[in-house]
Amino acid sequence: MDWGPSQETKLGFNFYFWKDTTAKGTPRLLLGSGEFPINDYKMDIYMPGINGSMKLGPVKLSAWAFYQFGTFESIIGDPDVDINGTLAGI
Amino acid sequence: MNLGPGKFFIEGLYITGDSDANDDKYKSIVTLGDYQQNASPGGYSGYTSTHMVILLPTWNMASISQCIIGCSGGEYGDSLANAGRGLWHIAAGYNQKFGDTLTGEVNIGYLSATKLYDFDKAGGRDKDMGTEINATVTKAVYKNLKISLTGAYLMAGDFLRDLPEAPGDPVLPGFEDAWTSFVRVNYTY
Repeated sequence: MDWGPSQETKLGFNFYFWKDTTAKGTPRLLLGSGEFPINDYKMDIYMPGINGSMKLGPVKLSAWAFYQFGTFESIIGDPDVDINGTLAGI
Repeated sequence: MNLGPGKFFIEGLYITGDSDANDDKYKSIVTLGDYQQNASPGGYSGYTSTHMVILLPTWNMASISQCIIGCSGGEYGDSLANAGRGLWHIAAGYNQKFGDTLTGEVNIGYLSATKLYDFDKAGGRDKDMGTEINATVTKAVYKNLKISLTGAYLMAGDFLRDLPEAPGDPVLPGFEDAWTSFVRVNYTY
């Protein structure tokens, strides 16, 4: 969704949902962090994001960010792992 | 923004990180670059808008897949999540036209991990992943033929080192500074 509050200002909002059920018994995510389950899990991630730009005289300023939250849910009874991450750029 | 006869930018990127590898919380982002399965990589999560050549994937060379992080041959992985540590990056650059056929640009950037795990600290790492300075000149020989020359130098940070094989082993030395140069011929038709 995009919105232009004024001629020099623009705002955008987005939302993604990411579901991964491909890891039943197969290693998929291979991260260096020990807490990451690499197999036998289901992953649900929700991802709201915002972006915007504005002109301040000769300077064009733009920024974007998203927040990720969700869960790695074990399908073999191991503890679930919560996901909380933010990315921001300017 | 316009600066004199050229253009100037300053840009930053921040990704949250995790310092505890043993709890049930993951405090960074998950990207498609985290998906690697033997011979079937899920792609990389590259960030090229700051025009780094060594720290991040090269913006103008699809076939070069070596960098510190965020390309398919990334020394520290394909994902900007940095294996859960997160990262932050700040860069500035300037580009200018010299006449009708010649352009030049210089960029400088710093890359750092957001958090470190305990085994990183025990292995002698700090958060500094390095500072890069690079320059490119591009000449349009014909309207559809451009030749560019790029040079880049990386002052390696103390993050860039291998970890000891076993806990308690001596800390391994950090990587040496690195440089690269290449010529790109770009023909469009």
